[in-house]
Amino acid sequence: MSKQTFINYKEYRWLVVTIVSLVVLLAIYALNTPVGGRNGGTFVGYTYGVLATIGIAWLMAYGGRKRAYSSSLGTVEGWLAAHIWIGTGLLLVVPLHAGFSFGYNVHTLAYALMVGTIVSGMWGVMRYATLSDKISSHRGGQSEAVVLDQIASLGSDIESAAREKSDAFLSLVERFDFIFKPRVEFLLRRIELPPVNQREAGEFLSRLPEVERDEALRVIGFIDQKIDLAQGLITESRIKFMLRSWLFLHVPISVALCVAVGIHIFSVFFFW
Amino acid sequence: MSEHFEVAIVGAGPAGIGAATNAAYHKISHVLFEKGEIANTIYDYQLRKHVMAEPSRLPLRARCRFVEGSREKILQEFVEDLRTHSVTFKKAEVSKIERSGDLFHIHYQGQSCTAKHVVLATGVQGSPRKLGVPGEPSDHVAYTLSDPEAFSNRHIIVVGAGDAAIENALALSENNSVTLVNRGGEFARAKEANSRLVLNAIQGGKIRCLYNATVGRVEKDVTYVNTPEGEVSVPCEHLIARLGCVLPRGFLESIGIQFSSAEPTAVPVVNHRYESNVPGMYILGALIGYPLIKQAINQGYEVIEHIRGEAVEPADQPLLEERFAGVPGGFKENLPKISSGLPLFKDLSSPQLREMIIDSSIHVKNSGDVVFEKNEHTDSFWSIVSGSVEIEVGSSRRVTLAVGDFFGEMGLISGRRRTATVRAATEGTLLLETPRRQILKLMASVVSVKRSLDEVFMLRALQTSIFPEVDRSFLEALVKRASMKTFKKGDVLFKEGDVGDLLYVIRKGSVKISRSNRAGVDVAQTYISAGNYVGEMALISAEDRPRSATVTAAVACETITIAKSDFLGLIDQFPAARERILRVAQERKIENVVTDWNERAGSILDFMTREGLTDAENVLLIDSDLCVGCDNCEAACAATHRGHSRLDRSGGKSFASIQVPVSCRHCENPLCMLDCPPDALKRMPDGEVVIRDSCIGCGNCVGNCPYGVIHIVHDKTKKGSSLLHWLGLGEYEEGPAKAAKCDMCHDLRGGPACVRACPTGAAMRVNATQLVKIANTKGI
Repeated sequence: MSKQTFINYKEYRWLVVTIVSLVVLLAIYALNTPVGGRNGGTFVGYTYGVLATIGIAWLMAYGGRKRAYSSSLGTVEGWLAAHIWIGTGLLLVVPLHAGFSFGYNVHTLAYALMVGTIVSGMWGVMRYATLSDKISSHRGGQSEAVVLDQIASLGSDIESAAREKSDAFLSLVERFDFIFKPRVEFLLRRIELPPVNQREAGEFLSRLPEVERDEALRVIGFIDQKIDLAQGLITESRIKFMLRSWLFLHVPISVALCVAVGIHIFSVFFFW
Repeated sequence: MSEHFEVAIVGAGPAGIGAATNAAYHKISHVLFEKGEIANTIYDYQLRKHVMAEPSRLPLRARCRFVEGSREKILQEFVEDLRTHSVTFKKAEVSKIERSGDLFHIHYQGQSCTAKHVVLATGVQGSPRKLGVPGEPSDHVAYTLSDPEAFSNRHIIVVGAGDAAIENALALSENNSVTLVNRGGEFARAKEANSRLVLNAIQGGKIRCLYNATVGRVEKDVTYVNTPEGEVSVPCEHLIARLGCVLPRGFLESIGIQFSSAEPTAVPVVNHRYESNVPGMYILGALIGYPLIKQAINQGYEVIEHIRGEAVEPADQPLLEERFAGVPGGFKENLPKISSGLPLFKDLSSPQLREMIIDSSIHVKNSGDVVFEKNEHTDSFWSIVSGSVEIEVGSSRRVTLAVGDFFGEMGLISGRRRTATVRAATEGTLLLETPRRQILKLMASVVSVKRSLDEVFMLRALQTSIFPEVDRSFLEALVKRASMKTFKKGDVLFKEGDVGDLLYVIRKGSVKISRSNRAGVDVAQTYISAGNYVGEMALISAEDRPRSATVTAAVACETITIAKSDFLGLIDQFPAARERILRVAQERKIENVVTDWNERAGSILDFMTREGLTDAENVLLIDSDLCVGCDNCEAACAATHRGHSRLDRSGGKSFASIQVPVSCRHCENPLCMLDCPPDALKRMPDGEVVIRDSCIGCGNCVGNCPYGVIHIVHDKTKKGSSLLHWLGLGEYEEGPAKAAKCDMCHDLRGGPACVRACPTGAAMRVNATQLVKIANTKGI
């Protein structure tokens, strides 16, 4: 049994709706041969333009529906499924509206911005589909707070082990132990915490008094565990950021698209 | 010539003082005997103990004073009142009472006197009940506690769940580490205020409480306690057992007084004038099952009025009459129907019966009126006073219950939905609806109530869900031979490979079925809930096959066990039952084959059982394969619940990409509802447990919830300009503290906002019955 997700929602209901609509729109487009050639100014062209504008307005309304928490108008999951598939369909509706005429003008700019919005959206869908299962898989079923607690408790174990030890012991702890703090850097690039360097650790160990060696090995074990846990959290924060960062493109471009569509409509009616 | 009195009162406790002051007031010749102190039981209370005046609704009718206050103040007032009324008082122990002719001869300390009437009001505190465990007669085991301040920095165990145990534990917990050992799962017998205080202390960590626990053995410095999780050792330098007291039955029987039954908890039989079977001998207070001070004082007052020949109604009469307002016949005509027409309550003393009725409501129904609907979540207990009702079992079968029968008893144990719709079948059917708490109290104090209910539980459990085809008379005989077994969480009912000799019908809780795989590791297969049976396969197999699976209690369970021969006899005699049982067994075999493939599903089921999901009526789960962590669920929850999210998405454990966020599961057995003073927690007809506005923010539910899903919050309301709020700079006004938890958005069209706001379909709400399916889906 395959699970329902925002992509295959209700057995691809919105993909089917989109494909059927596109087929109908294509057929009408193909059957209709207006005088002066196909363009946005013909009856079909105007109609498709109106459809595309309504489509864009509705796609923008998703942001509102997502935050209308008391709304009983469908579910956000259903809305997202429709948002994705109908949005993708617009890639074809708009060229049909324009009769596939492009140029270096504000009209084609609007189309380019729409393509930008849709592509950034697809990028988001890809990230949702491929990354969501990787957020928490490193935590072994525990919550993030529990992992942070584990790191803190390893830290205090190391601290108490180092109490009343030789200077050499302290310098070993100082060399390998670290304080885990979230940093912006974690979000932006892949960071791999190096494991404790065995050779270097060996050198530190050889400088220790005999009685402290077992304890030092235990501390190195703690540090290794800390690195593992911290690495998991670092990766997690980067994945979480990746699941959000595409919106920093998607939303601004969509706003720019609305402005461009506004200019497009205004200019066609007043200057064409 | 010995002295003669009109009335001799034995025992200067509240009842005795109530009687003596009224006798003195009416200038009736009287004497009051007391071997110890005035109001000895109160005298033995902890110093400065605050004495309550329960039941608060009951008016005080007396010539002496009694209002809630400190032990010292109350004792002083009693002594003063005895003095101002010039009560004749003898500090002496009565050793023997004999009757000759119309007179009683009362012997005390080598002397004797005669009296026309004797009022026995000795109370029961003279003989405490013992633990009866190895190591008990010991210096550090005591049965009373007078000065809790004599102890500090000690490990102390208090055994019991009544008022005395609670008060001792609370006082000791100030300076000591106190463990309370409670035989049951609640504090049903305690006064409401005490039960609230102790639950607060347990929640606040001041007292540790072991529920469903009994003392196993006592050793020096450590006591072993049997708990549902197994035996635990508790450090203990001092143990105080407050298990109530044993009635001085021998003494009473020597006077010729009859008891209601041979049961150890039976009380002497008295009529409405408190007169026993021995004419002229009256019995009051704790001796007849009424331990509360106010009630005893009232009884003392009333008994003197009866002796004077004045017709006096008990003080609770107006409360009872109010209950029957508008009911044909009123209280007077209906009381005998309840006291002698309802066999279940036949052993209740008159005060117990009156208290039960005051707590209940009376309903008059016409033919066809619905009493309750199937699947409703109510838990009251119903008795038929007159008329009859019809229970709709299945779609076509109707079972008729008549006068004296009761129904709705499943609500007392399992916390599940009503299993059938019940309608009145006669015009003017009179029904008594008693709250669950009151019946539990009676089950704890009147043995015959518990026994009859247990038998009926077994019978109905077998009749409704297991063997509907079998005659009632056959099942009644079966019940007599069947036995009840209880299992703690994790206990094994039987192991794979064992010889099968018993059928287990699960009355309460749920069990996990597991089998070992090729590597010999136990793998969970499924779980089975209350109202079903396990263990039939080995019994019906032709060639005596051993048990094919291991069955373990998933939560604390109660089962009815039926011997193999009884079971085989049953299916021989009733072919319809046989056919159905074989069919279910066949289906279970097929299910086993299917899940045999799937060990991963088994470990998922194990995880769900560990997380308590088998008790969930409706739980939010998150598929972490789909969750993108956008927290729109929390935002939706907060937006639809006055600014506070009732779920913590990122908290809670997960396994195999099923995450259990911290959020209410609307348990089948909701522990949060155990002790809510304003009764604000309620289960709605659709199953959701909600907190109503009457919440006082006491936090009892927060402490009682094992899943940490209830929080105390202050509702926020916007203050000032909406422009500032739009900019995110607005101020809020905080409301009073209230408990908040998921209410399943029961007043929102479309259902829970969390699920509807999830963009990826990761959030889902499921019922315990869907767990196996989810485990199978996820396990692939």
